[in-house]
Amino acid sequence: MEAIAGAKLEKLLMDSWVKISDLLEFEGPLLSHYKDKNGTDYFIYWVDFNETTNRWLLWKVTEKQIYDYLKGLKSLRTILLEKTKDHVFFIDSKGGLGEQYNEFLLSIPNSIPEGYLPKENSYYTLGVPKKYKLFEDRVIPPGKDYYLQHLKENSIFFKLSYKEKTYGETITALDAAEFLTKFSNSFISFVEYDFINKYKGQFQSIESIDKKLREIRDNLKPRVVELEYNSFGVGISVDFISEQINNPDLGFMNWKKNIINTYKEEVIKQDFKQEKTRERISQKYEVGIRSKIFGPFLDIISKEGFELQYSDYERSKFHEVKKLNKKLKENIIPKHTPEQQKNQKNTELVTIVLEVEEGQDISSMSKKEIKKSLVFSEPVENPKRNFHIIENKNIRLDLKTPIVATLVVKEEDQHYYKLINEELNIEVKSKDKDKIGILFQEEFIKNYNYYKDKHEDKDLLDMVKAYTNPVKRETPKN
Amino acid sequence: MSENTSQEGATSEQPGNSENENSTSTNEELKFKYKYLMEEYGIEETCPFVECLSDEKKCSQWVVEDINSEKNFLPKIIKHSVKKIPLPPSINSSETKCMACGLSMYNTPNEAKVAFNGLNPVIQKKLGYTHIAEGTINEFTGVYSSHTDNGHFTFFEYSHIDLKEIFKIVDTLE
Repeated sequence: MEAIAGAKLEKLLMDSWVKISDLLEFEGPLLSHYKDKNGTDYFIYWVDFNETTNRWLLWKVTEKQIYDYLKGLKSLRTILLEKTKDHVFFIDSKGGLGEQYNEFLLSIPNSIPEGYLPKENSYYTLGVPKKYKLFEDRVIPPGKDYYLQHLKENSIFFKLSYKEKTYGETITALDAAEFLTKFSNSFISFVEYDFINKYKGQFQSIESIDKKLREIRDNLKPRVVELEYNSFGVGISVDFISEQINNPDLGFMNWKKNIINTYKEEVIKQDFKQEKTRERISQKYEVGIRSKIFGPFLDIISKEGFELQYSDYERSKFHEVKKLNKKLKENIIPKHTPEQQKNQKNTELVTIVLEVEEGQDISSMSKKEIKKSLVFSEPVENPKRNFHIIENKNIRLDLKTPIVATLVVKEEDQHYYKLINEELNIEVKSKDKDKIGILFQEEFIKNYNYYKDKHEDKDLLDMVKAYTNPVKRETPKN
Repeated sequence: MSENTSQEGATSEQPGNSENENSTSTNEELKFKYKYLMEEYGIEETCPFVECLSDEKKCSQWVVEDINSEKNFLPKIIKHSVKKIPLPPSINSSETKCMACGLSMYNTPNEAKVAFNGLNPVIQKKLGYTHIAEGTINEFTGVYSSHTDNGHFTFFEYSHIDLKEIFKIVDTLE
């Protein structure tokens, strides 16, 4: 075992100490929480052993540190490294704690060998134990938004300004809004890319990835956690707290917690003027993804007369985001080729109101008849489509209430249609407008067949039932 | 604890089994694998604890990658002898002695991972575990203590059970 610098003590008076809990265990305690007779809290942590000795590290902790650890907000490593103590104790024990101690050593935090420190991933993500629930009221002062505070501590702070100070340090509301929109679009695209890159192997189908991505898009939308008005400043963070107890997947939680910093490293901190940087980005991200992630961000930093700086929560040092000219920007995000531009046609959706005989089949009407029956038409954004019947070749469901799906037409890299019902978690996509309705019905039937026999997601099952119950099922005649 | 004890622990012919050689096969099957250790400590009357459960449940344990390795699925007392970890002499109450005759388990792979990630790299390396194995225990495999807030509990297996056949690797420890 490593030699530790410090002063040997004859004994350590722990007789009146009370063990509150073994927080981590394996064949005995790994990390325990004790209180001394004055109510001071201590962690005792197993740090080393050899054939004759178990070595423990003992240090004073605050109630807030204990709570932050148990809430999964700070790792054990962070708690141990925080500068809230001026000394620590090492206990080399041939006996168990509370039994026979061989040697006590008074030391300083800097003497703790690196190998004795837990790793970065030493988070407790099992939920705050019952006996610590009352703790919460004492740790969080009334009126203090604990959630907000933790998001702030994991935020990026931006400062936006114009070169020309005609209007002092103020910027227009439109420019502020444009910055927030473009940043959000870039960030969410990065989140999707990074998630797929890391976790695609864990999903059985494209549908299950899509479902998870929809949840993530919603959960990880950038949130404004701070605002400053004498020169526009905004702190942006993401939620990394709310789901962790319901879904305590340690790897995923760490990914969520780190995603804003990963984005900072990969996008904000890049010097796009460097050819090497541009090359690396071009190689790593294919053009479609590249334009979604870097496009909006490069728009922000190449805006004429605009200056952008960033810092961390402490705001001790601001870094300038380097500007980029139009030519270099196009070097990263190429514009469409002339051929592509020629092929792109702008389209819009319109609703038309026709006056027809009751029960008349509109699909068999001629152009002339349609023109004659037309009452009016108007453009419409994201129209709704009602499904009164859901069917495929095997099943027909006469619905109690129609399912309403939103139609979205996208014209980014390619023209395609989407039908979405968020309540039922259905989203289908096709280039073919005739197929999109069929795909939607197939997806509903697939979910219906899945949920009617399984009851894991009761809310979704109830929702599906609300449409279909009582269900009239019949096999279509050949 | 001697190396000799460790070797005994890996066999099904335990010293404590001999007196029941003529009992029915059902009684044989339901004998605890480490009963001889309980007898050695004089705790066979109280161990496993009366409040132990036997309902079916999934559980997880730290293992080395080769599930068939003899390093896997050993009770604390034998394992400490194999790994040269000093046993705390606090194993002097009948409760702690009893727990040392069982296997440390967690309810879920995630709880197993959180506990392992809480260890520092020095201890992680010395213990040598690399993976998490998951299996289902029930009334035919043994009994177990109620779990603590961190998901840890102690499992006492029956003598006819080979946990290497019940548990499968489900994740890595890193």
